[in-house]
Amino acid sequence: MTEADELPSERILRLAREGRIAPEAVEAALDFWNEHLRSGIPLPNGEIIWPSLDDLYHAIVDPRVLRRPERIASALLGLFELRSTNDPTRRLGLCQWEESGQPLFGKVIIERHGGLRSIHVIDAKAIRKEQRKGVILWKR
Amino acid sequence: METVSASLCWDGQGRDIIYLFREPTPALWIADPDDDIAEFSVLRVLDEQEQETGEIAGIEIVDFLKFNQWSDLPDLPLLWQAPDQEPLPYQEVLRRAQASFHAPAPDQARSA
Repeated sequence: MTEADELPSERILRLAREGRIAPEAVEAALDFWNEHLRSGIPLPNGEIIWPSLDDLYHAIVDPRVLRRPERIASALLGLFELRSTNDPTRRLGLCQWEESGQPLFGKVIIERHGGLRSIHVIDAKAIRKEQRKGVILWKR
Repeated sequence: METVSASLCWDGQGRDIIYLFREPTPALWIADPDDDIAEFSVLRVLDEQEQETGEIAGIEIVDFLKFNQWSDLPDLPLLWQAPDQEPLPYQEVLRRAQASFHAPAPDQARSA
């Protein structure tokens, strides 16, 4: 890495110091990880994902995850399709869940060892784009 | 062409996902995956009603160290000025970052 780069945790803490994200939101995300994520989230296909603290910091770089960290659990529980990626140790998951009666969509990249490499809250258009890539490995 | 200040966010070759953000980064954005390049997304700014504003918050590339589809990347109407660099197209900012991530650290270079 170079001096010009930030880790996700460094970016999050900098944004909180600068007042551009609420420190309380970061605390809430850390609490949610400690209470609900670190012990594992079961996927609909039978696997379990154990997001690490580094996974959490990477996840909350997405502001729509930071604002509602419970979306990490909602997305994983709402997994409906797993697709291949260019790396055989990683898979792309497409997710759907409801909030206040409205459908929300997410994409996750999960590791074979049960890590959460990436998560984004996305829209239906993005889901359709992702469904044109790779091959289906599992479908609910 | 507009020039924006930029920052890079990358947590190493394990996760190997890089973000190039405009700074200050708008509060809300959504990752918009490319139609063809599986590893590439544009981060599009949303307003508080979660509608796209047309602005760009940044770029994300997955599997960054291996990424080589530079010529296929779409052009964006912005120049990005990362710390200690001149304003550049985002592709060049990221190419330079990739080269620096591949280079050995100074102490490793001395002992090689």
